[in-house]
Amino acid sequence: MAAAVTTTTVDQVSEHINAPLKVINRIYGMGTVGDGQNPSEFSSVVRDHFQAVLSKPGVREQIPIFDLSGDAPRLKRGSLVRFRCMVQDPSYGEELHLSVAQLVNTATGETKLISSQYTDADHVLEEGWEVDYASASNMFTEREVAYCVSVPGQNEWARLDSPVAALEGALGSLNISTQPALGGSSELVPVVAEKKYPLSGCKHSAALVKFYSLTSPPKVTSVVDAVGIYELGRSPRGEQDDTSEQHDSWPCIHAILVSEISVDSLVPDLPRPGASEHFERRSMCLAHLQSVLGGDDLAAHYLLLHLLSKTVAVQDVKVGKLSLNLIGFPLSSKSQEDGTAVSAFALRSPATQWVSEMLAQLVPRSVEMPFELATLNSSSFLPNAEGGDLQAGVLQLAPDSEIVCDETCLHEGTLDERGLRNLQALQTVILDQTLTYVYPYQPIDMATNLRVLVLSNGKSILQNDCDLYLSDEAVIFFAGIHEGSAGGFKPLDPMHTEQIRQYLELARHLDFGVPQDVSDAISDEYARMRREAHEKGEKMMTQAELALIVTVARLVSIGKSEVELSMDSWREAVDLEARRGERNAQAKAARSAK
Amino acid sequence: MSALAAIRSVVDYDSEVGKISQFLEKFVDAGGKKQAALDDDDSDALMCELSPGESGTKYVNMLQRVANRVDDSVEVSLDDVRAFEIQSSGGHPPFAFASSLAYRIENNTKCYVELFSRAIDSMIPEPNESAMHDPDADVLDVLFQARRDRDRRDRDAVQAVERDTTHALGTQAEGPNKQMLGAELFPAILTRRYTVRFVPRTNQAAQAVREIGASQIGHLVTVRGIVTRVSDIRPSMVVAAYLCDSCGCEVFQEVKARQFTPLTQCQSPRCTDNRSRGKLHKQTRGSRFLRFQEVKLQEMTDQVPMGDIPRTLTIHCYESTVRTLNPGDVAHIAGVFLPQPYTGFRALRAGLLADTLLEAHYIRPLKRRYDQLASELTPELYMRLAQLSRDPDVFSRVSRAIAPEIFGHEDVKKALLLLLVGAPTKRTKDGMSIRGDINICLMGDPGVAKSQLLRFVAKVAPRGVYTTGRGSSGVGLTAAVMRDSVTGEMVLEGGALVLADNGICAIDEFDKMDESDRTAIHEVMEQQTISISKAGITTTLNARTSILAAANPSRSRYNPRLTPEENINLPAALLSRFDVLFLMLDRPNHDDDLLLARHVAWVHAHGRHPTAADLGGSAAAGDGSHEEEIDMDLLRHFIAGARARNPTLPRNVADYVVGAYVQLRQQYKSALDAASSRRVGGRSSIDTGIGANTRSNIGNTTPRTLLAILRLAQARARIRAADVVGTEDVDEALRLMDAAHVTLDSQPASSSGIFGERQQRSDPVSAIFSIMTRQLATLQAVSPSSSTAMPQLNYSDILSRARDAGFTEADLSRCLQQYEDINILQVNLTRTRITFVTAPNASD
Repeated sequence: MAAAVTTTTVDQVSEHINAPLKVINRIYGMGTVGDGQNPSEFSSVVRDHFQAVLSKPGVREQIPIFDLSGDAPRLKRGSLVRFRCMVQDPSYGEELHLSVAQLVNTATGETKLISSQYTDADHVLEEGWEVDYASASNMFTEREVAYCVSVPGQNEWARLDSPVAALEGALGSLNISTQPALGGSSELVPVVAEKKYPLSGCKHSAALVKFYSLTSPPKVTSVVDAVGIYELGRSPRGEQDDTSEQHDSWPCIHAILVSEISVDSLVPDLPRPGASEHFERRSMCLAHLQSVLGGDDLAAHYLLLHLLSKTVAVQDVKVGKLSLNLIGFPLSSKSQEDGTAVSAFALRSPATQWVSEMLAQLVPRSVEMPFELATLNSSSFLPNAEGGDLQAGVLQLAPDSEIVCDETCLHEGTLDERGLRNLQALQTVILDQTLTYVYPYQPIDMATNLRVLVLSNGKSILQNDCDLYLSDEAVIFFAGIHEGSAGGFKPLDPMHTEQIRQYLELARHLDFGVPQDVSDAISDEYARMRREAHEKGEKMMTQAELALIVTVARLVSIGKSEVELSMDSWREAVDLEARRGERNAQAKAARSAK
Repeated sequence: MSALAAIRSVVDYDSEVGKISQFLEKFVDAGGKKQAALDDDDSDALMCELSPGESGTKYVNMLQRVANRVDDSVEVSLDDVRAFEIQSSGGHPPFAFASSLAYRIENNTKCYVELFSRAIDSMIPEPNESAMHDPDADVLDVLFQARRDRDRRDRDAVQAVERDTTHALGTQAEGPNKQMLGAELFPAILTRRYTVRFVPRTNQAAQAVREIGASQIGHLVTVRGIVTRVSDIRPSMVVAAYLCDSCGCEVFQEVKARQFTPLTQCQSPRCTDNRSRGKLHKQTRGSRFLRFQEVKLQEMTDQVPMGDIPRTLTIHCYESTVRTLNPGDVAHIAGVFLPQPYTGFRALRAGLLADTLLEAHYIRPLKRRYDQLASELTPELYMRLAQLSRDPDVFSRVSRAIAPEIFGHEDVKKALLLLLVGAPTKRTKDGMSIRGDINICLMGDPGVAKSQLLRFVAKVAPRGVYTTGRGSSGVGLTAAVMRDSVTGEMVLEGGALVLADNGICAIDEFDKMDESDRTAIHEVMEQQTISISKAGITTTLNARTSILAAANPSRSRYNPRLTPEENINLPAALLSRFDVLFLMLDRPNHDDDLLLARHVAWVHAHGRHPTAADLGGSAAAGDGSHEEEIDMDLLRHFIAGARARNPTLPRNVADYVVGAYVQLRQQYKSALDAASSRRVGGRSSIDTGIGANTRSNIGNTTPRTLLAILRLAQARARIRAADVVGTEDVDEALRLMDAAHVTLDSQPASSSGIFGERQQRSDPVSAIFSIMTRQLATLQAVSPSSSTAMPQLNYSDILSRARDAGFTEADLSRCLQQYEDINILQVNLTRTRITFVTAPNASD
């Protein structure tokens, strides 16, 4: 008996995954057909149904992952797929479609109703049937359509995982191609718009995701997990040439379930830590960062603060951001043209790669950005819609992405207008956390939340919130890495890595406040310091410096998982800033002495 | 997300046609007589242009003009339809809008276009003017005459059975063969020489593109947006005409979709009877085309929700609506929202998807964006505005809403509010205009948030442009003649000043501006035009803009030892064009520092800007413990409301201004006299009283100052919602102009000892400093290599030179102390070396 139940469940699950439309049509059939069932209610019924079936343990993992980079033909049209994606262009807006259409048989005059929720292609009509456009039973519904791409800079560990994918990965590494077996020429090859992916030239997947009955339309650059029906459809924007068959090869996903990525889904195996563990996690994280940075304690502190930073928009002011410039990385030699260049957006210097790889282990999304003149001059950092279609810019990244800029590969040469504009865009992101979407006649400034880490040899050409010279020890360490004699660094064990990831994610999402008494005390102290400085004839602290210390204090508090700013954190911040000032002054003096 | 419920109520269309005819015949436009007097610039809603001689039956007149081929469109205003219905029902009972004809038109526009056309067809008059008797005037007319003549002959000959002629409309789809029998049976649309267009009700709110959904299919909706692309004008075929090569019949095919399958075989009775299978040839001359243009409309920035990007809508314009829009225009477009099933290849898939488009009926380009704000005023905003204007201290309250994230600078913000509001521009009879825009210059130390103020102002103003003196684009500030990359034609591209016409141009780093732009600025700031003579193009562009400039002092920090003129690196001719010149210096002040720090802490703590109450009712904020926060939207509406007023200057206030001005001039004269008797210094004596006496004359007191006072006073009267400028407005204007310099005047008080000596001709501090700079210049001339690093001087060397010049060592140390304070130089601990932090100009 028990066996029978399980088998039906397995069948049911596989039907849901492989022929979801059949299930949907069955659900529709159960409703009050003929009387024009309300489509928006209908889609919530479908959603609840699928939610119930797929939430059973282990079921979700069976759904194939939408991935065009490898073997798209493996995906069966009309079956369920999972896609973790970033909304690149929601301006497709609402699409009207006949969700309920009445068919009429031209010969017999017979009529019947069909539902076409969650699908739009493949409505091959049977002989003699026609859509009766004039029928009163027809129902138009809207759905939101957005062009979604795989999340740029998504790190390996933050991807959706499935046993199948792991297997395929293994196959891929063995160079066993599974494709020729399927090599039917009739199979439509899905196309993606290269210009609509931020990191042009990188492998990615993209699809038009169609959202049904959303409460709010999808926001640009937001990251969603979508489970839906995969289809190849027509491009909604290729109005001019109807003749080309290319239009039928746009991947579409009719999303049934849409969810945001939560902290728990990133580190699913770990329970949330107790209050006492935070401190431990923090020191573990610090120790790890310190060992990565060649034993530079101060740099590790600042790097941690940087990783914890999150931009909070206050009308026009952005609070809580801390872009960091670490100075003292060895200059990389002029890039020798090796043919194996994977992508324009990959670091090549071993020292900066070292840092970037370490960060990739800790943060869910990180993008490498080498400042090579060729890259700067050829790519476009700002999203541009002047041609009518929104083309992605390199900086159109999902919120909370880490941008690791490598300035050590910047050499003398000409930066043309485009390159200059790109740098300016990056500078605006650092200072204002806004990204301009170039629309005709009205550029639109969009708030972003990106962390920028600049690794450079001297002071960066970009103005950062905070810059720090590496200690001598660290400079030697990185020089060593650059030379190839990498110091013995023992990798963190996976459990600890997971713990650090969780710690960072949780801390970043803390709701933070500054209590009144602390704010008063800070104010008093600021006024006192300014007065004293003036009396002594020293440089007075400016508003910007105060804001930086408050930011640092805020992040120090967040690092301790406190929800309010404490005076201790403030003092710690003042102390950190003093140490940083001292270190920078020393380093500058030493450098100018050379 | 709502579904479109099909309309099931049965409407008797024949009776509707009757109602429509009645409306067209009987409607009398009440406002018809006086509308002719309105000027066309401001009354966008002007719909009918009745000349005084004609009778008031608006639509009869309109049809007559159509018949006379003067007009080619019948614009039916839904306001009129509604008014007529209420009128004809005797004014009572005022039945619900939902059951009115106007409502039905709004919800089923496409159908009513057809019904109106039917009604008009039956009542169109004969032309009563002989203006178009020339047969070459219209090919179609000639063709029709020929067709009618021939058909009459045919009918006489064949004596064909008269068929029912009342189904003119219904037969079109069935096929052209039936229509061949009667002369009147051309497709109606072929003979129509007009298009029916509906003008939406004036109280129908304009929507954003994203607000239009499936529930509005077929409705007349109004959208607002910016035009991004406009196609060429193309002919769009509505009726295709064919000629049969065997029977000579003309066959008409009405085209209802974007594409159609041309007929090939003659279906006329003669051909079918004879089975001759006559071949049809398309006739371009006999077919009817409409002018057609496709326009892309994009949402405006203010309609886009946070974190979203703008959406676009395709607009189809036919006949008289073409050529009304250009790329970059902001417009209200009323039209019918229609789905358009995919055609061609895609239609073969029996797709259930539809493209949507808007068929334009009425287009209203928006010229002035402050006007548009007024039309968007919601009742809720109206209430808030009314509440705001009841506040006796509205001026300072609203001014605090300017750049709330910047602490303090109350007077600067007040001045900026005046700049946003501006004074009315006056136009004399001979066409000269006197500028009402207020220009302000902010001069100050780095880090006093000048740029932020500028950005905020540019953001608030509907046509605000923020730029830096070193404009990043090649167009720069004024305008450039460029070669268009596509067409190769020369085009004139407007720079920031032209783009900010009727708005505000915020120019940062004004002192670093290009020489050529600076020259052009002179013209802009007084005449408000830009004259260009480049590449064979000579033209004058309008640049009616307020200029808000920010500049750094000449040595990047304000040097209190120098005169203001020396600090400000701008020619007097330019300075005098600024109504107010603010000096914003960074001076430590315990109370202010405390408040500032609280402010910063507050922002971090609460994630928003503090109100005055939040900071514990600080001294600067005064009252206002229960203030409502003024957001940018409300601020814009407030400014729009203020700009609509036109306060007058009564006699007594004018006299008051004159008195104040004369006093200022006298003061300026005495200052000039004093200055000529003293070689150094241009500053008059400063006492700490209040009123006009305290003005230190930065720049000069010129006749422009008088205009500036008037402008500021008028702008303040506008803010008070007063119709008359009062003396208190003038006082406030004078006070603000003084306040601009208070930062400067109050600062030497901290070092009053020197201040007294400074009155003397030989101010030792300045004199010693000039000795040092001269010494430095000679050093650099001798060994240029030393100029790269921070230049240094030998202390004892300078001391001996100072002694030679008759100064004591105390003088020297005081000099060093003061210049150290402002970070110009540093002295090492053992006092042997003087290091210049910022290299001074050798000329000083």
